[in-house]
Amino acid sequence: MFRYWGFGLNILSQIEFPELLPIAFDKEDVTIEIGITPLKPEGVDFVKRPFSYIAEKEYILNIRNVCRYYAGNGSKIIAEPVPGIDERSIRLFLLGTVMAAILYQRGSLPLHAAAVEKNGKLTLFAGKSGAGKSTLTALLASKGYSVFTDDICVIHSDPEGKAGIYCTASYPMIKLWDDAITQLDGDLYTREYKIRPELPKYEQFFFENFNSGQLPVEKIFIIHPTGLSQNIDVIKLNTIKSFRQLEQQAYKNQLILSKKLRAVHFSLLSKLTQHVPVYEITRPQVGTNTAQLFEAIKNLL
Amino acid sequence: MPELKNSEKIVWLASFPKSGNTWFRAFLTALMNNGKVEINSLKTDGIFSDRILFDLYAEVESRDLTDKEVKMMIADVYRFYAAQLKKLHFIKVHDAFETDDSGLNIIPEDVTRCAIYIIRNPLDIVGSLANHSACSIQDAFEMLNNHNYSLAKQQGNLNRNAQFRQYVSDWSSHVKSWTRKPSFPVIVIRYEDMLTNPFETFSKAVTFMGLEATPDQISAAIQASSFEQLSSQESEKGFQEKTRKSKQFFRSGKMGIWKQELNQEQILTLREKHEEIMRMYNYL
Repeated sequence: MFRYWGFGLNILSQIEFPELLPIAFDKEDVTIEIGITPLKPEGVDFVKRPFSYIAEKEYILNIRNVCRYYAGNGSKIIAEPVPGIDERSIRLFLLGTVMAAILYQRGSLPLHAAAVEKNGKLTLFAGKSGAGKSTLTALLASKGYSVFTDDICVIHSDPEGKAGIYCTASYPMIKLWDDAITQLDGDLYTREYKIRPELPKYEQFFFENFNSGQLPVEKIFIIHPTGLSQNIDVIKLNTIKSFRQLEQQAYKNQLILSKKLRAVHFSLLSKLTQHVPVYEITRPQVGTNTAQLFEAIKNLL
Repeated sequence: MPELKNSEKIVWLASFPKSGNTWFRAFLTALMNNGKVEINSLKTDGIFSDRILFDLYAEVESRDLTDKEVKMMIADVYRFYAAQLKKLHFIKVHDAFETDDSGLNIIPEDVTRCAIYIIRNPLDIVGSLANHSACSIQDAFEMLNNHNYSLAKQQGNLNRNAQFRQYVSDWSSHVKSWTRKPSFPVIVIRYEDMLTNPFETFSKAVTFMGLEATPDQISAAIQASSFEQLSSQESEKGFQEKTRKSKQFFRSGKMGIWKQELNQEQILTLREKHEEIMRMYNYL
């Protein structure tokens, strides 16, 4: 069995995950095994969606021709791969949607955001897939910032009860498309590890500088590509708008069903929007490069 | 419109590109909107190849999927989507009526009420397609004859743009796919009939879809969605569905433009290659 740290959790896994941080521990929070997944959740209180079943403490996801996944009780993942499928594909969806299900089952709030760290504080870049979070994060890595996390940030209150909101990283890897590597300094990033054999998107590891601690959030940018924008515009959002927009940035928010979980998120986001400035960046859908994005926000960083 | 009781909630507005689909959607908008059309907010319900809709329901990022995988999942996304609908939805589609890699239809037949297939003389499509794609007449001519023709094709068959790749095929194959394969009812509406005999043609489509509309409402909708109205709106405010490369979306709206646009060889080749279907729909 392999032992890892990821998303703030100790993970005991039958599958090898080069993306996760190997550590030693006595007690695991989550187990990952290869096996037979249940056909549907145990109880009757669940929602059936196109490729999934969602219950408060169970989640089943079926990606045809790739893998079927089960996530239960915030502590157990079963992967049932289609024979012959490559391991990268199995890992990719497990570390995304399936881990999000686990985190929701545990009452956490995974935000769809990348983050960089400077002087022990975090700047988050939230936004849907394709907004440009990872590329901007990679660019900032060459400007004196350390990459904290890519894609998912786990949000929580200060463990010691102080004011402010803290974040835990997902794992020490950032995913960059082929063209993003070209756009950035090509020497810093490699085209060695594809996220899936068919996709020209590459894993970049940053184990050496990885910070698995809980760090305070200093500011948040939400990136919105829109067909209606001609320019890059940055505005500071008021508390209500910040709350509304951040609510939408919960990772795979379709998975949030229970009222209890919504209440936890409400409280976290209320606290977050009271303490942390939130900026909205709107940018044209196409034709924006990351250097322009950086120029537009550099005075606010 | 009465609330739907059964599962057949989608009307597909299918066509080869540049065959009058937008015009038909403008007509439907006017019909459902008291005779008013604003071209940048058509009241029909998007396009089948919408990647954002897929991502909303699939719970995995389509960017992490191959085109083949998306095509194997998209019918189930629309089944789920349709199950949420309280009223009939009209969805544009340029994909040919084809199967995925496992042999299943990409269009979910069980949630479909019917399809309107809008057909246009392929000779006239050429110039319109060249304008839309900002390419030469010869390039557009080749698209109509290319069995592998796809719209919104992305490098490496990736899914990173707003729309998925749409496999269209050549003109005849596209027509045949939609008129012969589906098990749901399909009515073929000729662009040329929309132009020369609008009241009868649009009325026929309205009845076919099972919509309720008075002759006056249909006439008003035809009037509001006339080429002149749409084109003048585009000149005034622009049109968001125009490609970045193309100068204008609404070009001439006439029939028979091909006589000035195509050379003899192109005309003969198109007629020869698409003879069967052109004859069937009175284009020869």
